[in-house]
Amino acid sequence: MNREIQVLIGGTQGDGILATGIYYLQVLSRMGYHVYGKRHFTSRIKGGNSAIIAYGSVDKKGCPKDDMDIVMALDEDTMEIYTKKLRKRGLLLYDEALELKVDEEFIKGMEIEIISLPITKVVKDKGNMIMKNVCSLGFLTRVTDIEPHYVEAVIVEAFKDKGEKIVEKNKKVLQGAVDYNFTSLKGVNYLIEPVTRKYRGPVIVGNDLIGLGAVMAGCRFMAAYPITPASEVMQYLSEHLPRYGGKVVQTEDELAAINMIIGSSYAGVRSITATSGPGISLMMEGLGLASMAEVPIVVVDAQRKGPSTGLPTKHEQSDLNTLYYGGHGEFPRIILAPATIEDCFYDTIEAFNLAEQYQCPVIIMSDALRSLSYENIEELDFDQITINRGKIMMEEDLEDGTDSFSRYRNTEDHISKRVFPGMKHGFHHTTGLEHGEYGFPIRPKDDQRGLTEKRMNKLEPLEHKKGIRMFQEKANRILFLGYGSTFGVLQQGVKKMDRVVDYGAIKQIKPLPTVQLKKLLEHYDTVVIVENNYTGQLRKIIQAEIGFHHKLDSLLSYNGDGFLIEEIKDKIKELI
Amino acid sequence: MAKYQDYSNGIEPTWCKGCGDFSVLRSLQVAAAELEIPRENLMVVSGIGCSGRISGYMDTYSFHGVHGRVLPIAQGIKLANNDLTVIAAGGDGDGFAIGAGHFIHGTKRNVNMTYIVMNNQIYGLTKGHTSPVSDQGFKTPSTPKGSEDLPLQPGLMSLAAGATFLAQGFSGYQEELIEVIKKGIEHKGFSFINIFSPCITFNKTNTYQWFRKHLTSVSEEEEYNQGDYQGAMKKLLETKGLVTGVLYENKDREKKDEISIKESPMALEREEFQKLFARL
Repeated sequence: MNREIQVLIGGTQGDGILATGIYYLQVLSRMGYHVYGKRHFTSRIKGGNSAIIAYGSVDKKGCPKDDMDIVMALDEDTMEIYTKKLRKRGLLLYDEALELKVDEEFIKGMEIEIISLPITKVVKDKGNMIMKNVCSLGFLTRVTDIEPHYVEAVIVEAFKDKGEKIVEKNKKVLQGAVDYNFTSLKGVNYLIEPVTRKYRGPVIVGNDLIGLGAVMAGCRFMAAYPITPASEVMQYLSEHLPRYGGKVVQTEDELAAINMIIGSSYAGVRSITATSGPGISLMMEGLGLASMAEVPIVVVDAQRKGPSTGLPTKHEQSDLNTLYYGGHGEFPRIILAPATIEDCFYDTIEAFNLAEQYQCPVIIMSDALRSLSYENIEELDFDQITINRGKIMMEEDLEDGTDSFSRYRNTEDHISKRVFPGMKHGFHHTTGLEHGEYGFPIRPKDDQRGLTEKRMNKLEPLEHKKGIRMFQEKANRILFLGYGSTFGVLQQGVKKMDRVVDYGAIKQIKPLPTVQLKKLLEHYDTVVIVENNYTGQLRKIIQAEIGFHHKLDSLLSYNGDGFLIEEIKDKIKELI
Repeated sequence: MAKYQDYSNGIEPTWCKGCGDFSVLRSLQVAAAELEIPRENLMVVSGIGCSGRISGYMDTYSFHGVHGRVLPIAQGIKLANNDLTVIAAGGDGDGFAIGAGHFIHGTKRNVNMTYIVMNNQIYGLTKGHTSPVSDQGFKTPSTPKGSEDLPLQPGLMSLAAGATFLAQGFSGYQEELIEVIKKGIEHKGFSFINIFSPCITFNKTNTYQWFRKHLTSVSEEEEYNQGDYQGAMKKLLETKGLVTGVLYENKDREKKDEISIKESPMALEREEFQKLFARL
């Protein structure tokens, strides 16, 4: 029996490729497999090639394999682009309505099997073209020998809200594919059998879990401007927040988005915005204001490739410098990087707590792969959800005879108590100007150094946190550290090399967990920072802040797709 | 009875002696007193520029944001806490240049709040640069040969964007100004009040005398119909915008009693979490 299967389904955007892929992932998930779905798409609604890699494995992987067992081509581009991704003795499926376009030498050398399928024909005979996705799914599950009841269950689930008629129509199309007589299938064995797994999580993307995390953290307001690959956070909250008395506003731009959540958070409501690089550029002034006025906000950056408009649907981790240093002047901020899909949930809750405890912006630094890849998630633990709002004054505690409240009084930990508008006796001013303890702009003779220090020093306790999730063996002398979506592929690479190096995920990017990092850098001979950018941004930040220049090394990739497992392995081989 | 002084924190404004903004500040304080708005429920949000300092002189809750962003901040506050009376205030640069997009969309969004623009047709705080509402030919250090373009027309812009309340006022006509501010606050929706507030230091053209000579008022026109959208457009076109009073009010789009987001519970029960999880 096969312990894993990986299929690439490709076609013209608008062909329902994504749906076919997700249904297939759901089928595999129902059979007890861990799944991972990775999208390749363009910024076009119709036309242009689109593909999804659907991976199912007995063990949880957190990234796809480097090569495909099956490529299913619903357009000629898919054949041309992706056939060479097939493994030796892999299978190419294509719609018989297409002209076969392959590199004969490759097919021969790799012993690729090719089967044409009457996908378009069956769709036309049994239903209509909108059901192409279900038809493709039918053929795919038939080729991989999956029992039809798993597939039917997924189809019923997918269409049940659209009524019995639609469900029946789709079942008919599905049956057409299942009944097709595969005389040519002889000798092909892609048998997938159900495996026993007690828990079967829903197949979702990281952005969904950021949304769920926000709801559970008590976030009740979002202002955002749609952008790839962050919009799903907004879509999730638009659907669910109103039920809990919350609201989502789609703003005119990202400037409005960040300033609106500064307003709502100042008034006492936990608030979030989500964007990608181009939006982050616009939000810099807002980050500065939130930090200066000590208003807690949570900002999601689902990073995409390149400066300017770049490659909107491609992956990169190149906003780091901007998130870390960006904005004029110097101001504190916290950056968290979810390394697994489940982290998207827990880190979002943590982000809201840290924002209120430290009264500054918290950035959830995601990336296209972390935000948009599909996985069936592990069970989430309700008991780990805590809401900690930091230092907040109650209205009844304010009746001390004075009307004004020293909102920005410096304290031992540099964190002042908050009040909200509407509270009696809590009057103070809030401004982006340098200000004294009651919030009013300072005069030239006032102490300006102390105000900067109050702000800049308050995050110091976070430097002592264990912000790196470590996976260690006793004798290893080399450490690989990834963050965000690079962690999954790093983990697989290291495992494939029998764990001859240690590895981990940097979860807290700013402030860096300097105490833990320093110990690690003292312990290991070499520490490789694995990241998807050209300049090795995090490696340079660590060198600048902690040192150990001679021990730090980079593994970089900036092709828009993330690392292959092979690339991780090659780097390990190079070092050991 | 509340007094207007109750709303003043006694800080001496940084404005030049004779600045129109003094009258706007006083009018806002009088309006608040006459409407008896509890001080803790009055929220004044302001932008950047001379006018932006206004929030810092109110003995209320006050937020002085960054340049051009007064409206997003104010809308966020109001959506979070509907019990607050939210006043956003800023200058013509803040509202019609760097924040013009927010002005149009804030109008369209119709959140129940009041937006006061202290319009002096010049950038006072940068020492006299041209503004988007400066007259064509207006000479400043940034336009030594005179401003090239036609000025924006805030009244027409707001009507085009779907305003539900539009009024204009003049610092020199304080009684009318107090009235329009009161009506703006009472309007249940986004009320926009464009106030001619002369800069006596840098704008030597649009002076108090100049406004007194050119302004007319609909407050004194008995037959003026504030519910007439086209009439308001016509009035603005006829007067080249130099008209005061409540020009337009649409009560059909009034906001009904909306709840405050602030009142919704933060923590959810285990059952609710399980429900959300099942919907993933």
